[in-house]
Amino acid sequence: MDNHFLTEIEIEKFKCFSNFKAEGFKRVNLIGGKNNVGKTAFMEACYVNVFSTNIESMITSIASIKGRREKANLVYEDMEAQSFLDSIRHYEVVSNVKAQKFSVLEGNGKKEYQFDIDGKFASINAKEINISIVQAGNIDLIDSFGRSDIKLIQTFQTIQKLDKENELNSFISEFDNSIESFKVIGDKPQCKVNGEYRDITEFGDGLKHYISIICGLYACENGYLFIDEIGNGIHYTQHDRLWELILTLSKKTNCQVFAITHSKEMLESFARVAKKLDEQDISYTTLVKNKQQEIKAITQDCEMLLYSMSQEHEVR
Amino acid sequence: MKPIAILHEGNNDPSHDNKLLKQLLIHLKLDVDLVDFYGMSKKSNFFNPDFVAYRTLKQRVEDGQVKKILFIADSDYKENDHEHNGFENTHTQLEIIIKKLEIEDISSIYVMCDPDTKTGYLESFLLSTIPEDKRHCIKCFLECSGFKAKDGDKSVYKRIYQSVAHPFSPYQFEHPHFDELKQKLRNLF
Repeated sequence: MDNHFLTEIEIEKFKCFSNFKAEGFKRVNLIGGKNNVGKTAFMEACYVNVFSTNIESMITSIASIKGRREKANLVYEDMEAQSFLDSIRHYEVVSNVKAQKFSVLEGNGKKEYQFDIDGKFASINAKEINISIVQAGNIDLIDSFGRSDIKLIQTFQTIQKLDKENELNSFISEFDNSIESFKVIGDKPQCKVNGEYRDITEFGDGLKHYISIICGLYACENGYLFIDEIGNGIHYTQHDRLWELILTLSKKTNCQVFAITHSKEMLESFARVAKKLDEQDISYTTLVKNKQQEIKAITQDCEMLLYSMSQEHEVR
Repeated sequence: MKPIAILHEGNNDPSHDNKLLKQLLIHLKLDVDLVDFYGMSKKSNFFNPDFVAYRTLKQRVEDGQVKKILFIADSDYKENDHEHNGFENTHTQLEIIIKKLEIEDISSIYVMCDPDTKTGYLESFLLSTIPEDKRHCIKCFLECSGFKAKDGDKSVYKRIYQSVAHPFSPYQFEHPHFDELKQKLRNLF
């Protein structure tokens, strides 16, 4: 297991989580569970945890998880970012990677943002907070509602820097053999069909999601890629190939992947491909609520997942 | 996840053990949908605390999902393994592993055998539920034909049972030999 990988996490407080613990994560991790159990919030907690190395990056990650849900293009003003911080209010997470606390304190007409990153404490008056968006090229979160063009272009630049355009194009043609190539022309991602480039928005959402995942795997070398609703828009016949790419590329780039799904077909494909490739470095985590409505994580390693599925146990 | 776990030899469908247990649950009008079956493959896996079925089961017990467990293993023949085979040994070794797994409070054991001799396996148990004359005929045939190997015995038992035991095949659930197993299954619900 690579040192930078997140293997265990405790969420003391964040959104719907309190006193929550999960462990047993591997290089590629699939997360399942019923609606509103907190799958996306869990992934956001992990994202903030690995992203936040200092106050600036912590502000960026906390604001961005809220911002992503409200504004997909991730372009927002400082005031807006501050309101995103206000709405999160509390984040307290400890993992094998880092320990952080964030809280908003209000009283006597004063508002303060308190940060504690690996034991380094800072308190900042709300009026004095300086918000600057920090980039971490090798940590990325792909939302369920579709990637912005800006973000797709950013990650595609990594493909260009690595001279991997031909590889990407061959993966895209496996997805849809009518597509000859993918390029960014001006500020628009475009696909070539019948000798003519067309805006990617003219194609189905699945194609953009697929390209975003592949670009993300290259861009997040030695980092982390978080994918919400991995199967969005992707036909079940493409699932196996998608997992093959994720398992092989993540190994090549040493990228830890966390992906969310609701789909039984996607889970079955994940297990099937892991077995086919004899890939043990995977896990499947189900989030469930107990009788007290507390969220619990049940993490199965590869052997357990394959066993449960062979016995026809319900694992979602 | 289902609250009842039944561990048995062989694999999940279409193993003989699994098929019998499902049919018996249905016969008893017990809700088979509340049960997850854990195929242990070979008997030796029952005695390996690191076997994947135990790791999976233990996690589900700790998470409060599994409430009752029934271990069903074959008695087999003591002469083949003095530590793990035979009715008493099998029972004792299962008790040891259950204790090691710390699931004593919710676990019970049923050792599959011919209840008269306390030896054998599922096929011996099924043969014990058919009339004496038919059973005698099968035993004589097995002795004469020299089917000694365990696996050979099992497959031959199965085939002969299906044809010779008619009309008592596939299962003679009303036979008193089924009573103990029935009770163990009822206790799970």
